[in-house]
Amino acid sequence: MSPTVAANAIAKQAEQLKQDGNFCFTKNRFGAAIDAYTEAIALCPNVPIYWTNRALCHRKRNDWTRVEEDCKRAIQLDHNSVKAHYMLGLALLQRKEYAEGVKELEKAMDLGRGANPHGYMIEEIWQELAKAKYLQWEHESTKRSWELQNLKEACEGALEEKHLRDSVEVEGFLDETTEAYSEQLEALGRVFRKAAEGDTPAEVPDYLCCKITLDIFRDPVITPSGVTYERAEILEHLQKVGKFDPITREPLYPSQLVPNLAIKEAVRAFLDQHGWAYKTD
Amino acid sequence: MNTSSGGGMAALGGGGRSWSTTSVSASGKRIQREMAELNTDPPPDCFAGPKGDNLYHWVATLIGPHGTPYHGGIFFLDITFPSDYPFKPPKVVFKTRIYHCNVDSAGNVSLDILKDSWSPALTVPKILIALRSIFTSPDTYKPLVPGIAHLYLADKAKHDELAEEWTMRFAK
Repeated sequence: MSPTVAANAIAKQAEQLKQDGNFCFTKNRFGAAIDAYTEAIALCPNVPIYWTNRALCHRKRNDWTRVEEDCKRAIQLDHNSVKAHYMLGLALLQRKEYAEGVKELEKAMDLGRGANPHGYMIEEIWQELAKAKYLQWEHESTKRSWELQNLKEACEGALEEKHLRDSVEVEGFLDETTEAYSEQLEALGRVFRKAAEGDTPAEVPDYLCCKITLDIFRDPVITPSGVTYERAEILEHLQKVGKFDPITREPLYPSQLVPNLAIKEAVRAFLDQHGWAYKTD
Repeated sequence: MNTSSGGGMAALGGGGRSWSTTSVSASGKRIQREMAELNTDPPPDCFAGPKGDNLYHWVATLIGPHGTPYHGGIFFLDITFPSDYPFKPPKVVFKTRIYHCNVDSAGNVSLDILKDSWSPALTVPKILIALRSIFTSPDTYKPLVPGIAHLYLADKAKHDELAEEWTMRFAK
């Protein structure tokens, strides 16, 4: 047997093992599936799918350390693997590595959207990403508000001390110093309220929300009428309701939709400052 | 991407994350947002909200506006959202009897935005405003009850008298 023929035979055998693994997976026999994929990997360690499929089994068993290992190997072999980046992101989030996990999920989403903009994966990845971002915000904002609270108390304490000192030194001008003191206290309160604004959940401004979902944009597209909609929603409208712009009722065809990059940037900037808006329900 | 990789993304749902993965459907989310909007900024003389636990069944009330024979009447309506809302309009039915050429005896309303002119950019507050406008200006060109439309055009005083009587009887 020539070397190429032998290599082909091995590849074929590995492929068969993968099929076996897939079959076990569909029957929820994850242990057996892992064994099959492991054998396939032993034969052909350079096929990223064997690694991601095994990672998927580990994920089903909540074995996140192994998910992480397998995904990292898969990414070394194919750095465009949506599944590998996605599951690696989930594994990192499990370890509370929010920033790194979010980075992986974002990578998966960019890759997934490029491959298939309407794929069902996109929605799933987005949901996970939004949850992760929200948790990250919750974690950081708690820390920030605690810091602010401490700082505020320290500042108030310092002002009070100064006021007491002043009122002893400048007898007779008590009213004036008291007035200045209360003004300063008020100003201090304003400054700290302002500082906490970004972390206070409120309404997302209307101009960052789609008129169909009434929710913050993810993948905004603009029509020739100048109205911006969520891509998936306006496409569904054109398919189900009619070929017109929902607001202006001007004729509209899918080919006329253009990404609205400015709004996309604006949404990103808003979310960076207001992590609470990631709350998906 | 290898599409033959079995157990692919379709099988990825419902993983082992600790937080709840209850996913509200797109229509449910949209209805929830409309509910929030109605709570913070309700249109004048209108009320609308879910009947019970079911997000898709709402009840609404409209108050008959001044200067119309419906003045002072409280009209109850049922609003039912289809599962593919907002790509199909909600169904609106008057539960309170009303003498109006655009509302038949079963409570069905003829309002073009709830039929052929529906757009997913319309919301419950906008529908309520449109419904209120038929109190002040009935659409006699597309009546559901031609007899009432005819009387409205031929003898408005008589029409208004009957409408007022019905308002007194059924809506107060």
